[in-house]
Amino acid sequence: MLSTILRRVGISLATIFGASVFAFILLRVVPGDPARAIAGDMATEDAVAALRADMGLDQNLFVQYWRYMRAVFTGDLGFSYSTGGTVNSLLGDRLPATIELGVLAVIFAIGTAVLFASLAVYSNSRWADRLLRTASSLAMGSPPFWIALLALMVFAVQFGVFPGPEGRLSPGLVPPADITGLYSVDALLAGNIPLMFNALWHLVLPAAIISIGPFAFLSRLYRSQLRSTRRETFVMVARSHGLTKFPVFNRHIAPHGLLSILPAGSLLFADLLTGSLLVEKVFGWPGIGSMTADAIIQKDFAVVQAVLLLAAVLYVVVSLLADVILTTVDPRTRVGAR
Amino acid sequence: MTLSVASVRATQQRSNPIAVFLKRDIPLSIFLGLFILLVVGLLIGPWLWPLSSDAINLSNVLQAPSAAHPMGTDDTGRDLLARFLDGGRTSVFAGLLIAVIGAVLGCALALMAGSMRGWVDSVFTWLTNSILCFPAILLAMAIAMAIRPGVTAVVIGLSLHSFPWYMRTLRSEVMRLYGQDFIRSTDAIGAHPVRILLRHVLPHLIPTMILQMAAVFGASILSLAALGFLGLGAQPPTAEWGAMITDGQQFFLTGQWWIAGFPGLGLLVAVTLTTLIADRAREVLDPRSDAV
Amino acid sequence: MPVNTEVQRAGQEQSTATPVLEINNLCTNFELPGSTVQAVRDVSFTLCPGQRLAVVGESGSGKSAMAMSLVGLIPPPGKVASGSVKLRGKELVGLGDKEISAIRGKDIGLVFQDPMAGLDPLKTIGSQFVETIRVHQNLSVRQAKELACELLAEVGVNDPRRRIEDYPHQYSGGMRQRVLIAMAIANDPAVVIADEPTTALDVTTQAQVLELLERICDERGNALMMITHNLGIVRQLCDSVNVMYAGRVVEQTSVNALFNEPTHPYTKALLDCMIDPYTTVRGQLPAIPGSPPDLAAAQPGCAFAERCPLGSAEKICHEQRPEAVVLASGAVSRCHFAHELEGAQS
Repeated sequence: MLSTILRRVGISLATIFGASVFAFILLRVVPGDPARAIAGDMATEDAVAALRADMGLDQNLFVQYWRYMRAVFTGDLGFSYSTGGTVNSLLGDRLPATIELGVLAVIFAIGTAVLFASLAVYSNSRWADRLLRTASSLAMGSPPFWIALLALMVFAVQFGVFPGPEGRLSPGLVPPADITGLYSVDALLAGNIPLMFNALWHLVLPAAIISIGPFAFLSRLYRSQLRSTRRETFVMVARSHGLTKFPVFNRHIAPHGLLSILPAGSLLFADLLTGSLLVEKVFGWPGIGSMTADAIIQKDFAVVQAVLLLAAVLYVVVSLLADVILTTVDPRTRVGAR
Repeated sequence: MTLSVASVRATQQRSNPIAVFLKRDIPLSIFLGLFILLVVGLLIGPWLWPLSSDAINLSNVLQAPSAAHPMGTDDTGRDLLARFLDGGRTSVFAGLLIAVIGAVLGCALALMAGSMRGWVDSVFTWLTNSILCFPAILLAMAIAMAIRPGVTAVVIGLSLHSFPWYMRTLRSEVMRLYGQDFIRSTDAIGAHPVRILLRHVLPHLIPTMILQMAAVFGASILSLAALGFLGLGAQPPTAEWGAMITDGQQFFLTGQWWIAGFPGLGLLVAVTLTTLIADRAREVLDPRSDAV
Repeated sequence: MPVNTEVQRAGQEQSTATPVLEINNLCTNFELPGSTVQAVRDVSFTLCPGQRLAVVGESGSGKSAMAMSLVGLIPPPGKVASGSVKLRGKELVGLGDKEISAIRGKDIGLVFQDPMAGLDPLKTIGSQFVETIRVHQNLSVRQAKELACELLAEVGVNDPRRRIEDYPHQYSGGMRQRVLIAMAIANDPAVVIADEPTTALDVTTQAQVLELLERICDERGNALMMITHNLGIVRQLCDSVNVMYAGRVVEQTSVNALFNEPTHPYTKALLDCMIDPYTTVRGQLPAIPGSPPDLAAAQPGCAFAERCPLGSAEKICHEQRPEAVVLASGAVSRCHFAHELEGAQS
């Protein structure tokens, strides 16, 4: 088992290396000049050249890559020209907001996918199954940014049950003392319950919309795993031993479904990131997604590069973790055969 | 018992899949029909609908849907039906392009990796893994930034992300085929490896490839619109559904829902239809599988 | 149908004992879009305590579907269409999930064909065993585990106290089948239904599992219904036989009579297909020509008529369904020429 895990770690490192080279080449080799982009069309050729030298762009690519990776490993992700701060501090500011949103979205996505797919399969009704598949197809086809607009119109403007695009707290409220950076948690730690509810209230709508995409593929995955497990002989055997429908579902079918969700962890992560890129802007949410969208419009290469690298590394780490957890949880890989 | 029934069905369907598709599976024919209707409508619509998509008419701004303007007008008085049709065409063409480019590239690499194995396979797999760890939209955004925002950049970016995806699926399919007896036996009778690849392996990849093309097509339309929404896709005055939603964003909350409403609905319908078609087709091809 | 009860009694060897399981006119259909497959057609027989009944027939003859129908485990779109299954006089057809579950595993134990897939790979043998016991017996987990260990020892699992903590993948196929047999008898069922329990095993393991089944039935005195297509197993293990063809029981007889004087042409053909290593000419394996009929199509005559050496020429075989005929030996045959067949042999 250990050798399997070590092998996976090796592959992951190779993938991260490949991704970092890819991201680097993408932003340095493609037509277009970062220095010119930053300096703007009006800058003189000399000014651009100076900036280029300052950014190290006059060196050859290997040197540039080496320098960049050395800096990354010492924890320096570069300087953001558009905001005038380091990328590190920018990420530090923005990350908690996105994490808070992402965690809630994951809970929504897994919760709804598992609940509805379980109901559809357990009820064994053709209509419930059709309903689930139609819902997941619609979820797969829905543009999140448009749904966000729609939701704002209905829930914020028409009925006023959820806040409008005003960020993480109602205007005028002071964020809680920074402990975790997650407002809802910090407010709870500070004992400020109304503030916590205010933070949660602002979270619900964007998190629900981000969870639509992941819900679509998780519910399909879970449904199909449940349905194929249901046909297994051991399910028939358990029924023949006198277990009624629910205990068999609960103890012998559902665990296999949950196990099948694990390998989808990295996809889930990618979907969340995509969701936050598209939804945060609509809600005025000060997170990584809106930061990245702004940075791309502003051609802030350092920020984009950092986000690309971060996304790739996290994707690989999540899929590695999912793999390791899967091998430890599944007895077939955990315990060797006799 | 049930097994034998299923296999009887499967063999019947294998005999002539396309005829069975349309004859036996009513939902699939409905979905396909609607989809073809949508695409044909988008393609010939601009000829049938007399109004131009970029004719500004300031005396006619922000009109609600009416007989003269079935989808209303925007803040510069442009007819939104004309823009909807133009924008849909952009989406469909771009989606097709991405699906085809990715399929051709991915299939070629998968055939090479699956037949040569060894270091070729390792390098290709490493390459695809390295690309696939970026979310598609983020990758396309970065490319749009590096080159220049526009449909071309988005098509390049999304194709760059779609071909490794094809490659990953098709590679395992190629590997599986090489393990099967009928390929081994053609190899054993001394058929040329390239001949085996083109005559015996490639045809078996087609169903998988088509199903994946449908998925890539749908996802690409959505991504293209997302990038358009962020201002990185189609640039004015090109009409595109995502960009149209951005245009309508500010009016959405003040009651002029139609500007962003119809393009979003168009997206929803087009992508959902492709998903339904792919699901249904997969089920008809292999009744015992569950669409994932 | 009065004919059937009469037929049954005549067909039964232990006609004096009260039957534990009584099946009357059982029909099971699979409703498919556009067609109905009649998998089990009008099957009636009884099973008495201690009886060992073999159900033989080709693949697709409805053996398994019949067995699953008895305990309400027919998978959808299959459904028991009509008929009755009585366990000690209690009707099982139409019971709710809860009531039939109280009978499954407790009064009727089942052993399936594929032991490799028969155990949940994510759960230890112990937890699955304890679960099986505690469904029907009011025992603590510890007591149930104790009982499980005893049963595992009984079926020949060495060091059960340690092995009970293992996962299924740590057991071989034969061992898994032993575990599954132990689970099937854990609650002392009056009837054990074994659906081709050795088909998926290799030959040496097959013999061991059969011996185990035989020993268990000897010791516990339960009725055994053995579904198989292996006539060797029938001869070794069973005392009476139901021969099934195209969803019907075409012959009910004792094992001795089966081998000595088959009274249905299909049974004869089956027997002819048994390979005798001493007499079979090399390169010539006997087979029944043709293939079983489509179970979705209507059958006006005898289902075997097309393939039958007697019936293919006879008009009656194609037009009229043969009724059950009780023969002097006590055997029941559904053949228009059962009497002639019997006469020809004696």
